[in-house]
Amino acid sequence: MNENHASTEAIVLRSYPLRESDLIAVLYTRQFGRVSGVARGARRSKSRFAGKLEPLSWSEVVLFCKRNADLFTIDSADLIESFAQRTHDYRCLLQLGLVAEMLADTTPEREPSDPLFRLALLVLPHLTQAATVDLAQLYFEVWYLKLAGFYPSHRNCSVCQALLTADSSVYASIGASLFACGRCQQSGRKVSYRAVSLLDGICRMRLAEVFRLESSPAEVAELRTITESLLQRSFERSFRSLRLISEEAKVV
Amino acid sequence: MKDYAGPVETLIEELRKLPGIGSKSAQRLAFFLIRTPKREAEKLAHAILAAKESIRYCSVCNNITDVDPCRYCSDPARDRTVLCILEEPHNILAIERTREYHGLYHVLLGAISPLQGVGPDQLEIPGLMKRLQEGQVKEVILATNPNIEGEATALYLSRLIKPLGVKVTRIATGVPVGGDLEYADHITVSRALEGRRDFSG
Repeated sequence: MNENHASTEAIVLRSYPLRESDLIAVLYTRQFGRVSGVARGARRSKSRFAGKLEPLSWSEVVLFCKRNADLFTIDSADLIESFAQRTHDYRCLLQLGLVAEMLADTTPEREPSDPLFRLALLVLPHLTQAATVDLAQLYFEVWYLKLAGFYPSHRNCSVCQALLTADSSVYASIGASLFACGRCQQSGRKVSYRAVSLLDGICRMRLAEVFRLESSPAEVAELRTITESLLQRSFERSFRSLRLISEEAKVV
Repeated sequence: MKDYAGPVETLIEELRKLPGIGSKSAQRLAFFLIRTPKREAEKLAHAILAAKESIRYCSVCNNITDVDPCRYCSDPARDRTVLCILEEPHNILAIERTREYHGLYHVLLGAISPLQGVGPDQLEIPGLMKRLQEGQVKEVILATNPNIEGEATALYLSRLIKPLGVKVTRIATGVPVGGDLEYADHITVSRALEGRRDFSG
């Protein structure tokens, strides 16, 4: 492999048509972080790239970069897994879309993060199944915020530092202080202790262990409301996929 | 300071708005048009205006047409019990070229795109549901593209249509004619195997 060529694993986040038959793909790579690359002829039906650069595919790609060029050239791609093609559930596709949108719009360009890449690969297979999608998405959101340095401690009141226990009333407010005890923060959303326990599990345990915890859909939904508000506040943007997810939740 | 005279700059700017046209291509097209005889330039301008003024969406299927309803919707020879659902009007041509399909069409004018924030409310779904509720259609063919947007749209529509008692089918996906299994990815091959059918030699 010469200095301009590199082989790396990549999750395809988006793709755009370019000219007659080319494609620009936005990739989250293990080696370079988020990059964009051009795949020549990728939109032809018999192209060697066919299906391998679809959004939410996990591929081994060979990239070529000219000095001072903004875009990589994608020389080849070998599909490892296509998460979007694995599901036949509309809600799962929307959640997969949210992960792609978060990685595409909030990660800095060309700043690799192996923990983030591993987190995405850990969670994506579980987002293709209706039974695990909500808890897996919550796990991703909490850890995404933690890796970005935005998730505050849920163990102590953010105002008086008192330990939040089963006896405390816990409040969550998407203001400066997220979790607070009842004495310090009477406003904001009251959070059930079971939801706080689940959050604690998510922060301490591996995903497989979190699946074994007894958690209700209501607790997961309670925490997702908080994490999604925090995501939008922390990254100062509203996620388009979240609008579709909340519309779908109303239908269901 | 502008590089070219005002009208040339304006022409380049307007051409750059066309899909797939970058600044270099826009410049090349602009200079081609400037060198073209005035009569040819007028014909082009007239063709653009005529198309813009006479072309509209069919009030039944959303195909682009100069007569309403379009020629497919008003053709009495077409099978009115089968409806093929497509993302864009130009997809109709791809189906028509096969000469295998004789039913009607419904164009959604887009696809659900979680990544672009395009939801079902931005597609021509109410008109589709109205057509299905009339009761004539017995089968709906979901011919949206086999990508994430097309799959999301097909999944959403099938959930909406099945309770009406209409048969819902999806176009097959797999190895292209003239393709080579060696170069096909495992997802494509597994889809091809899923969609295998009886073969009589």
